[in-house]
Amino acid sequence: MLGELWLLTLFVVGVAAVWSGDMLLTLTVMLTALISASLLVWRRYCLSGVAYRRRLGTTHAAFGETVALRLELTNLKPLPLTWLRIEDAMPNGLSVEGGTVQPPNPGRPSRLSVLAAMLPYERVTRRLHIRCDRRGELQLGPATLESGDYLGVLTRRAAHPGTDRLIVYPKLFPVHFGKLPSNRLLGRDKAHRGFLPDPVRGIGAREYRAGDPYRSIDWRSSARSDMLMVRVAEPSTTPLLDIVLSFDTTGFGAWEQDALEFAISVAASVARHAVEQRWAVGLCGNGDSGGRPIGIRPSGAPQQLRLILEALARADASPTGSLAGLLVRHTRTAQAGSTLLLITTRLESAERGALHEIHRRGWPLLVVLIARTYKVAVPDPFPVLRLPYDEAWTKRDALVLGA
Amino acid sequence: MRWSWARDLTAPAGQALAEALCLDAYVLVLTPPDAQAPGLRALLLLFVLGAWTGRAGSRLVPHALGRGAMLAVSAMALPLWWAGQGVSLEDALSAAAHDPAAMLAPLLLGLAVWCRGVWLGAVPATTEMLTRRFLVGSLALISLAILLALAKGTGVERYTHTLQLLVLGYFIVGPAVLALVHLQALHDRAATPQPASLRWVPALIVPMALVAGIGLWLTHDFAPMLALAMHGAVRGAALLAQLLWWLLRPVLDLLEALLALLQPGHHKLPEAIRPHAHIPPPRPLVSTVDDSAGLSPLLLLVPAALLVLVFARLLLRRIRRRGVAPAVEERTSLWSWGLFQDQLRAAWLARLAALRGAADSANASAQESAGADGRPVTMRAVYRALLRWAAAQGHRRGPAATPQELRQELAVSLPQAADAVALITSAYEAERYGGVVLPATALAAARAAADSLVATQDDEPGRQSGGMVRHATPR
Repeated sequence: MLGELWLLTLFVVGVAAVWSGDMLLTLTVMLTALISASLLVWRRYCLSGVAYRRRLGTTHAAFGETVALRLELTNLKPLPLTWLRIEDAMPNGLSVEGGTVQPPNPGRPSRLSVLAAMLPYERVTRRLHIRCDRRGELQLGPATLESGDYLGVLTRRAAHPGTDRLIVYPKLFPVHFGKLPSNRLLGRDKAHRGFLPDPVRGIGAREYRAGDPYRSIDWRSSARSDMLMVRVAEPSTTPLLDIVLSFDTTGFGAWEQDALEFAISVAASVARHAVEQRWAVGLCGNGDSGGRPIGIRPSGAPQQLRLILEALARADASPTGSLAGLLVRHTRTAQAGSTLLLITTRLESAERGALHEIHRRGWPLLVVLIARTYKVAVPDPFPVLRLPYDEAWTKRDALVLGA
Repeated sequence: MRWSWARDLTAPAGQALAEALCLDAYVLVLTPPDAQAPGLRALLLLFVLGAWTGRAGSRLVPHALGRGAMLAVSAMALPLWWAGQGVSLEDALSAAAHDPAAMLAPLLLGLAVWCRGVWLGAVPATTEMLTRRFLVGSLALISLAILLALAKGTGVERYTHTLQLLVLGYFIVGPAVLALVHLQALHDRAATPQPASLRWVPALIVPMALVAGIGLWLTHDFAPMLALAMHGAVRGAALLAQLLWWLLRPVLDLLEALLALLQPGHHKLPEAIRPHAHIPPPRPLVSTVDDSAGLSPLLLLVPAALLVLVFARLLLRRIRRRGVAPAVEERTSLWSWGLFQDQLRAAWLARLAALRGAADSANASAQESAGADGRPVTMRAVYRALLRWAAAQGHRRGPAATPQELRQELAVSLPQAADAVALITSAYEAERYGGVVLPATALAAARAAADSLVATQDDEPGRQSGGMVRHATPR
């Protein structure tokens, strides 16, 4: 519309107007030409010196938490912008307080729309809040910047490829253990004998007996009691909890994906409970997390809970292999004495067979089956704890395992 | 769709105003000298009322029958407009009996204007459609100006002043309406809960004021000088051509003689008949068109009251939303003369480099501030890069601020960059105020620190090393 032919025509008419000395014609042509030229100048330079920055208040958030999102727009040039539109890609279903997230179109994700007018050399900072209503590794961006001339006739776009990631942990419930069908979940609560007593935990001294190592002799006690005394240390043990999460679903019901999210939350809650009880806890599952299979060996390290929560937050809600095969492989490499806690939304014959075999070998085992309805069939030979699924599971206050 | 003051009141009125200005220019010129032309205010009133009626009918009345009834009732504005012309009914009837065509023309014009106004209001227009209308209006004004320029000497000069005002008004109202409609469309598309920022108003006024100011200056001051220069240049060219002709004349005569020798049966061509231009007698000057055709004060009060209501509603909405909207918007000015000068210098160097066709020459002309890779090579250049970066972060160095004060300010607000800023500041102070010749390693460390500062802005488009601004890649 405002092409070279248009400008050339205006130039020719303008030269004629100036030559003729007619004020009216000159004014009309000059104003038309100046507006046309200014539109081209604005289109050319509208996005020069324009910067967009997205800042998250944190990179990790708990489920239901509100995270501050700061958007900074900078216009470092002498031209004002009557409009600058930014469409920032957002994960589907994310709610942003103070902003509008456009629903996804075919081929386009949800996007946060920001519209601003900017004066020269100005920075606009907008503070929004993201409500973390779903777990996952949420990617914010990339963004598209669009602006143009002051009339909106000619526009220009630029891509802002920068992305930010926000990891939202699964919802964590306080866990209360009721009457469990098996006491194996906790392992043996108190170790009465231990191969390796903890030398740090001294509980007293006793008389020296033949065979006691010399280095266990407590010389101060020996001096006080005038006989050889040896230190007695407390036998210690650490319960090992191996959480196995099943990502298998039948795919027939929409509720199953939500039930799987509930299962992930249950796994995360149990893991946190275990860490609070100072158990060593590990996690594995037949799914991927961040493109890698989920497999965290049991450990009581301080960062273990964070590792598990991040793995669960990033987990894709789709299986990558058979659960039965995973159980068989896992029990071959798992630490002896660890309790296997399987959290699943379905139990088929293959899984039942594998679990029956594990149980038959004497492996401590507990199955948490999350189901919408109970199908009372032949009782399983291994302990199964049924956890009812409720669509409003995110509003639960606590998680009670066992009756 | 919710009611909008911009879409439903201001935009139709603005479109109607722009078209009324354009139409009035033609009506003014094309009205016979002995007839009375409807004034701008009368045209404008009919146009705007028609546009508002059309918009109200399309938005408020859901059924077609109701819309028709509303249009029929609203057509009562036509007699009102007629009464506003200051002609009594008796005079009108007697004039109609005497010369029906003379009375029919204003009525038809009023009807056409009313229908056009209703159509403008009823049919929502996109930005592209409005742009086309605006350009067509511009072309119409240019054509009118060309016609008047060709008809110079026939008495049309009396319209010049009025038409200049109309043209100026058209080029102010038209773009403003375009910008308003576009902003409203964007706002509707974004569906943001916050109302559009009022910064839009100065952001629009600046370019439009520039265009109007430069246009007036070019027309009244620059164009006469340019015309003189053009006339002088053409005269000079004519003299040069005459000189050439005088020099080449013998050669051409010789060639003509030779040609005559080669053609034995040549004959003289008849003399060309010189056309005599017919100069029409000057048209007698007629009385100035009366532009103050009657306009009822009551009719002026109606749009004024509507505008007041609109702005009151707008203010109420803003006040209500201010308490509800959780989003907080802050605006900070990043203006600094240093940044502006740096940008000018960078643009000039880039232009030079583009003209010379090689980036190396531009870098060489950047004196000692930048090396072949575009990075600063002196300590002062490194510190200037730091100042640009700090200004971009919103921390301009004040006229009386020392480098240490700036360093402390940056350390508080940007602690992640404190080490790099301290390194550059200390090296700069040592060289600038301590007279110390920095070793190459210290300079390299300062350059690396400056690069690390700029690298923190990697997620920002449109930047390059040293805080220079580059153009964003078009799609």
